Amino acid sequence: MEECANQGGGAGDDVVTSDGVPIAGWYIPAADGSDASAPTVILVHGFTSDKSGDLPYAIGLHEHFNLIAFDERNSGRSGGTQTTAGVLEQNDVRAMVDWVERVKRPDHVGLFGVSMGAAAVLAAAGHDPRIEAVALDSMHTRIVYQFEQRLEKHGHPAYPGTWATFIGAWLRTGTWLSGVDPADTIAAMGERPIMLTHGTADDEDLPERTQAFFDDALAAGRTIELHWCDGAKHAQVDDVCGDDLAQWLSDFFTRNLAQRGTGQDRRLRTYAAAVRRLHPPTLHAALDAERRSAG
Amino acid sequence: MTWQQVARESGVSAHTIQRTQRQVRFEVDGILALAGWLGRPIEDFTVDDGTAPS
Repeated sequence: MEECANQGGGAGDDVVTSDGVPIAGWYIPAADGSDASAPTVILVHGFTSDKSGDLPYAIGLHEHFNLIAFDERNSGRSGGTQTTAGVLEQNDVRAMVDWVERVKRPDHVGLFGVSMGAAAVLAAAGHDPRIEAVALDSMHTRIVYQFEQRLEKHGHPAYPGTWATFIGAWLRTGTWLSGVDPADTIAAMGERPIMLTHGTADDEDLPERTQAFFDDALAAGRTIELHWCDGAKHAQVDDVCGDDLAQWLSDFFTRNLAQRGTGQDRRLRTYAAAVRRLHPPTLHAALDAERRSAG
Repeated sequence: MTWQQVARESGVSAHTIQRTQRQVRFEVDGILALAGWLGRPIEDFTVDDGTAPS
């Protein structure tokens, strides 16, 4: 799969984010002829990319999974004029999930994101029980670390440039870019499965930080796995380890989406997850109030 | 209305209903039935981070 010369039409009004940004995307049916109820994976690109940039990641998934590739705000054919390191892009992801749930009604939904897209994925999935599994490639743990590395790589001191970048972005977009740091947002994933892939030569999001992120997540009881791509720099896992990445993604989503049950099973799991988070005294108070009001 | 009447109407045992005063584990179907009797989604009675729902 390669870049598409034609990105398709501009965004219509089928998919509009909660803050009013129209989103353009492609729905790509599974090659094996599965219907729309088959597991669906939504692909989320990185900074300065667009939905064409998702296609290399589709190789391991296209056969058995319905896929969605879409342009985040301020890229490709979508609307919007600002890019915010995932803070607002999580709304784009959520809008695509809403669309596919409403229109295609798949039994299972998973998300895959690269770099900034991975941060947006984790932020969107955290409080959305419809998302059953997420795969995250070349993801930063805290955006401040990436800014430090980028500045130093280009011969600038990390400070005060890093803070200047934050303040400049806040003045321009009204968002604080560390608002969806994966080191914070991962907590809301609970026990849902997470897969990390990362290059050992990533000099923007350093491998030792990814290893620490993984170790912390494992210690916190998360369901998480990590695959290293030897020699890959930032967001180059698909270039350097293309075959491995295809296999990792296929295995992960097959295990965590395709081998799960039907939509009814999914709803039961969603209810079960809610009951695990039950606050019984609140329920009891509501029952008591209803009982008393009934006389 | 008595708790026994709530139990009859909701189809959940009075014992289970009384247990909702404490932070213990419950079966999914009983909690769904109680939320259904109240006409509210179960998410109204869940917590994300250890704090009580508002």
